[in-house]
Amino acid sequence: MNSLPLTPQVFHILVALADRDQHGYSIMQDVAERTGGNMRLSPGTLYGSIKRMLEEGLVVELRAKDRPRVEPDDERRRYYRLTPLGRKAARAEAARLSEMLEQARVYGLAPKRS
Amino acid sequence: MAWRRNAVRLYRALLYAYPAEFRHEYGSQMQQLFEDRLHSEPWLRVGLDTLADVAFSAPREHVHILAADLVYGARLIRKSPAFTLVAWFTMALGIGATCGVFSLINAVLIRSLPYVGPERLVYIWMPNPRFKEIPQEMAPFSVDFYAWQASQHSFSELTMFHQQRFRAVDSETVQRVGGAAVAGNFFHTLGAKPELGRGIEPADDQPGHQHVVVISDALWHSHFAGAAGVLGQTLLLNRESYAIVGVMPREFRYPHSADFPYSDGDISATECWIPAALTQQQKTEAMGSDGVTIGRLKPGVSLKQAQAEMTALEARLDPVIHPAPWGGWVALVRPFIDTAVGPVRPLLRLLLGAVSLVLLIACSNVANLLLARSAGRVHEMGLRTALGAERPRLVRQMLTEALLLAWGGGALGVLIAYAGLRLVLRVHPGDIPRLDEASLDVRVLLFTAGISLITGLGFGLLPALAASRVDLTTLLKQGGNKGVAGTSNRLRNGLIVTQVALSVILLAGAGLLIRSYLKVQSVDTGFAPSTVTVNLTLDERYATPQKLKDYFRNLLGQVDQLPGVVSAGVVSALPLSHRESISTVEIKGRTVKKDETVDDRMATTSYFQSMGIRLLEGRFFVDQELPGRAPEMLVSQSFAHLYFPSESVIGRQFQAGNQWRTIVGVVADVHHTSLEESPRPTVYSPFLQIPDSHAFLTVRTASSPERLISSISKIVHSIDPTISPERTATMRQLISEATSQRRFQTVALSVFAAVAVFLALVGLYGLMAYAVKQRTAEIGIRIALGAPAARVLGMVLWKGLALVSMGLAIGLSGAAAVTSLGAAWLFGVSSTDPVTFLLVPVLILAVALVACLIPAWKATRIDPVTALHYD
Repeated sequence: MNSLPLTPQVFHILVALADRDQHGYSIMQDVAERTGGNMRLSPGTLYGSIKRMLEEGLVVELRAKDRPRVEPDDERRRYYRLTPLGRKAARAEAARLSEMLEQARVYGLAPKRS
Repeated sequence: MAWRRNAVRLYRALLYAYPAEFRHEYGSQMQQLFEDRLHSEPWLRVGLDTLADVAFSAPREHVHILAADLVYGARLIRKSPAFTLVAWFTMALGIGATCGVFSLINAVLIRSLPYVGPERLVYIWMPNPRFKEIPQEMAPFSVDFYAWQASQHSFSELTMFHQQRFRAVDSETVQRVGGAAVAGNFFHTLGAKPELGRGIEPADDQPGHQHVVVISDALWHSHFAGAAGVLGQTLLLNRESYAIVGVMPREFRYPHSADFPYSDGDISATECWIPAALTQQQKTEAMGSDGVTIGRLKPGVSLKQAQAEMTALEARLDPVIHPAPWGGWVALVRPFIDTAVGPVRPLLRLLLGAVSLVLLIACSNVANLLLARSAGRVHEMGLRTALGAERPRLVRQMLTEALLLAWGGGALGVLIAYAGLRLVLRVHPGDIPRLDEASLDVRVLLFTAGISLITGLGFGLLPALAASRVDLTTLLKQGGNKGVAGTSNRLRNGLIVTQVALSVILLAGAGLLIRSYLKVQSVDTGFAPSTVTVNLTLDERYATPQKLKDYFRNLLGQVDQLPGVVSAGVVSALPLSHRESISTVEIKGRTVKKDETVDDRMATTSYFQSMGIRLLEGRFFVDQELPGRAPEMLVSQSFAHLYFPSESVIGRQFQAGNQWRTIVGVVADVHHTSLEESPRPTVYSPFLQIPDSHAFLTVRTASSPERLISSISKIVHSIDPTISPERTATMRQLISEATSQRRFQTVALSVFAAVAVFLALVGLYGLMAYAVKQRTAEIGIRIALGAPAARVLGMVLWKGLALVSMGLAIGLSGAAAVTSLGAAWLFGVSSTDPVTFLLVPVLILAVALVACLIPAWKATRIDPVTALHYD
């Protein structure tokens, strides 16, 4: 893995895919929802990131038979799934972030754990 | 809804900003995502978001692909270092030569002058059309200048100066420095600001106030070690002290020797400027002082309008200021920049043309290399195509590889240009203004980067297109080995023919220049090259003819006594010294055309002996004035031929210096202005009868000239310590300077031609070696079937020489067309000089034979058994 620390976009995409396979638009909505609208992935950024994540093996594109069954489904949509490597990367990044947060707390830069 | 459809259409168009590969992979997804957002979010936000997204992510995708291609290209470079080195070196030669020539052009033509708005500056000359031989660039008389200044309307400023040589005296050394006596508005007119202190101002330009001086940056450093307290210090110039009031910036050294025609050749750059401070008498005297005049055009006034005004003005002034028979002067307005660079433009164009050909050859050479390599990469391309890579993607990848080669070559080329430039500055290529300032500045480096980019695309495109045209079916049928060989072979042959043709053109051009140079070198100058000459100027203490005579008689007497001296003489204007003097022609009993002029010199009898100028008829004149005897003179051979073609000139009377003189002898012609112009009719009067304060001592010696020069300097110093030789040189040095520009252009073109021929041959060798390798199996079979080595050898040679012959035929006809345009560059040879046009093909064929021989010999050594396994 050569991409740690992950860019915020990649990290958010990994998180979005952590519990279910999703297509581009739902990843975008998921991220927007979780960040309270702060991070809105536009098409170029989203698919640019996905392309690199595919190349690095963090996600895979699902074949037709593996697609989740949803109604109504649009056949043109492509679904993505987290790979074990992607999961590992997300974990490592989360650990890195929480370590940083911990340090910030020590110096009073972040609110104490409630 | 219609607006939504339009928005989607617009977005689809925006997708073209992404690399094709990315667009094809994700374009429809992205479009769908865009549509989804349009349904659920405010359109304005989606629109702004999308624009920002495209602006940010499209370049990023391009950079990602570029990075991947660069990594891939770098891997290829590592894998084939020999290939890369040859390509880099080839491009380095082409780009280096181009970069070097561009840096010359940059220094001479492009880089801005240290003046404000130089395009608004003009020279105003005052020629007299009555005298055809007088150059147009005559400095106007002061009286005309001040009359113009009072009544003209075209110029916001009008200024004048005259060049002056000074002896700058330090505590211990005397140094000769070039200077200018300038009008009070000189610096203001040019818009030049001092880096320290102030310039010469109108208040300084008054008699009695003129003892101030502005010095150059160079003089500041050489005399005052760049000390900050230089202002107010005193500089001793010609035994008068001047207070330093300003220092000019390093780049301001106007006037240079090459800034305008007939400038003082001994002043290469100006080191000090003093006020001219003309007296009222000097300003109003009819044929008194003169000075080079510069005007700054008012905004909105064109050169043509200024010329019209000045023509009318001088037409009005001339009869008043210069009554007959001294009148006939006109005003001539000429652009300032063009006056300096106009004469060297053709040379720079020639160099640019030559390097363009070299660059083209280098490019086609590398294109050829790439074609050969791409033929070997058919398999790789086929594989990538089968895996879904599209053609534009393959082309892009290969163009990136080509750019790596071009930029590598460009970087090496800058080094070559740097070395070349150092060499050019050392050989002194003649009067090219500001050439000594040529350097590899930011503009040159940007130009080189740009040229590398263009050439990279240029030589990369053909091979990339050829290699990426993969037909998978054919490829699979042929077992993946041949693919593009047919097309690319034709292309490669075509490139070799082009290269040979281009180098033939360059070689023919260089050949003609070399032949011209040899002809110039073999011109009979009319004088001996070994003669030592010393340039002397006596100051106002030697104002009377008697004092001058005494000085020179004393000098000649002492120099004659030096060991080894054969003969020593004096002349008023030495050949090739840029000093001119002419006289109108009046021959007793002969009517000549009105206003005809001849060259006019004063010389001692010993001058002719010391210069080795032969006496052809009659005798030399008597130096001394002899009471009761008519004054005598000599004429040159061309004078005798022109005026007395069928009878003897001896005994005729010629009026020189308001005195009738009898012609007593005819001497051989000498080349005075240049070796390439035919000698002008010349008359010589005895120097010791009409002496001049500017003169040249000419000494012929049997011993070494160097030792003689120091002995002469000692004598000059012992006679009057304040007079020192302005310049000592042998006539050989003057000849060398007079031919320096021709030598420079000949050497430059020859070097470019040699590089071109070398590159073409490397290309030819590469092509032949490749062709032999490609035909290994075929040749193996021929050998197995009993073909003798000679036939195999001949087969390969024949192919190579056939290509070369085609290139020769095209090149020679091209050369004939090109050289006819450059007839002005030639001397003594025609633009279709048979010797050159015979030697060029012989030379090209001979070296081509060498280039083909090695691959041909290798072909004969092919082992049939190995060869059959080869494919």
